[in-house]
Amino acid sequence: MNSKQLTLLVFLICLCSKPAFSQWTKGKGKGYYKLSAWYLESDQHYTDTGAIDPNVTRGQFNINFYGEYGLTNKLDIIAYVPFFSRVYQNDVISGTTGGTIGVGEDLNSIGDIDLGLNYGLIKTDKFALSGTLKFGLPTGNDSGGSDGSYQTGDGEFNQMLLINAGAPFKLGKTSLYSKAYIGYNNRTQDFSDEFRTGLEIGANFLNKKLWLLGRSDIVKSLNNGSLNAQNSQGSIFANNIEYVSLGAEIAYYFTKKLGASFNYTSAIDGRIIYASPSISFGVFLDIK
Amino acid sequence: MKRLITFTFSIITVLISTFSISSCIGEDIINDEIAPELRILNPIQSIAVSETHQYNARYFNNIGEEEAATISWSILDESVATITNNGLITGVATGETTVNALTTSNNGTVTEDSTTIAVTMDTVEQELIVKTGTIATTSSYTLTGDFTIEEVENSNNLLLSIENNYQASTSLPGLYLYLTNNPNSINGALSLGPVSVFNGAHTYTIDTIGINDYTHLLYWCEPFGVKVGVGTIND
Repeated sequence: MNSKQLTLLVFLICLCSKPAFSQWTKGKGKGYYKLSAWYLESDQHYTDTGAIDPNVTRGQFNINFYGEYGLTNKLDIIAYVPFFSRVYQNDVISGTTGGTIGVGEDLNSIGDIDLGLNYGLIKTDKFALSGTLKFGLPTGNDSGGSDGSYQTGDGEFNQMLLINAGAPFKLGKTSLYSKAYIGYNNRTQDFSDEFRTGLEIGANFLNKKLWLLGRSDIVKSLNNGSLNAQNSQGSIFANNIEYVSLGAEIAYYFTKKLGASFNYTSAIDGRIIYASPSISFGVFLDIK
Repeated sequence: MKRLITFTFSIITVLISTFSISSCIGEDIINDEIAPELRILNPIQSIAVSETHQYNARYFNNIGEEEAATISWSILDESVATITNNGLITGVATGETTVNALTTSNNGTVTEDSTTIAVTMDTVEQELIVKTGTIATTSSYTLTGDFTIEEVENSNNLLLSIENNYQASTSLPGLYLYLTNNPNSINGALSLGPVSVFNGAHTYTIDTIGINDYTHLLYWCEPFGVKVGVGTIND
């Protein structure tokens, strides 16, 4: 199936379906809280040409808290707190002698925290529209390790504005929803700004106990930042990151409030980013 | 509430334990084998009759590291010049001949190098050696350009000149330049430091090394631990 056929299918699904529910702002006093572990290990990366090149195996993982809480019926506060982030690199061993050529390193610290607000603009049975303002705080380490490339943060304060739209629908007896967003990420410290967009489709089964989600995100650099390898010696993946990712998630509610989820996401195209999938596992509390 | 807190802490403990185990520092094994080489480091173009010159040669093993070796010296035409077991050559009569250095490894592999020399009546000033090469990318990043490396008069220094046509991607993270005898590894290589020029001509002055001490320029991405470009130093 090519991209045009896929787009058409998504469009037809949205067009032919009946609205069932929408899930945008949480509502006053309600919330969604999730504790996750996220993990990525890669021995290859997308270069600035989009080709895939090898690298010494590097790994990143974090344990993070994500929360949405309804301050009012229309306004949610959002927080993403990677309170434990780890970056590591393998030793490099000579295949000829078995001697160590490069000694691996690791770094543990807090990561970059995101804080934001989500405001519901339109919420009907058929359609929901909201705006999100998120601040990326440079709380992580942007120059760790012996060469400064062990990073749990990018060292810049960014402001991201997103417009989110979504619609619930039914396909047969199955309840689904589709969400899309488009946004602009204003980055500081000579980083390039970013255009961001994405699409998510979810379906629930077993009387809303089991959710299956598919997600795609696109980040496109505006290439308007001056930061590069020439003036940020040692930094890795310093600037002008771009990618198209595809991900799938399964979430299961053990009770009406408590559940667990598993996510698998991989970049299928990119610039200056690891070319390997990430996985995450989390437990959540959904106060409806 | 108490059960929820207990559950949350249990989950955190499990997650940290699980991922701490799976994210330990492991080992990446690279293929860094090259052909061993015996190299005469200080060849000269000519020597006068009755003058002497002490040759030096070094053996570089299959990863390009210098290794102690017993070296035998011989000369093709002993009527032109003679050479001792230690590599001390003496001019005998005008003419041209070939000097050969040879070593045999423990497994019986013979490695050798040779150089031609002219014997003249009078002392001839030695010309400064200039070598050239071309940098070629070994990755998907742009990295290209020509270079010359030459001896600097009245010093033990070398001058490495990267030419005008040099170009490197500014997306290359942590780019370092090395002189090496193994184009696959920085093991035993001489670091010339981080690359700060990504376009156009520039130079490096390298202190106290011989022009035959290294065989390659190696551009190395430090954070990724991989080579991204290499240039063979040609005679």
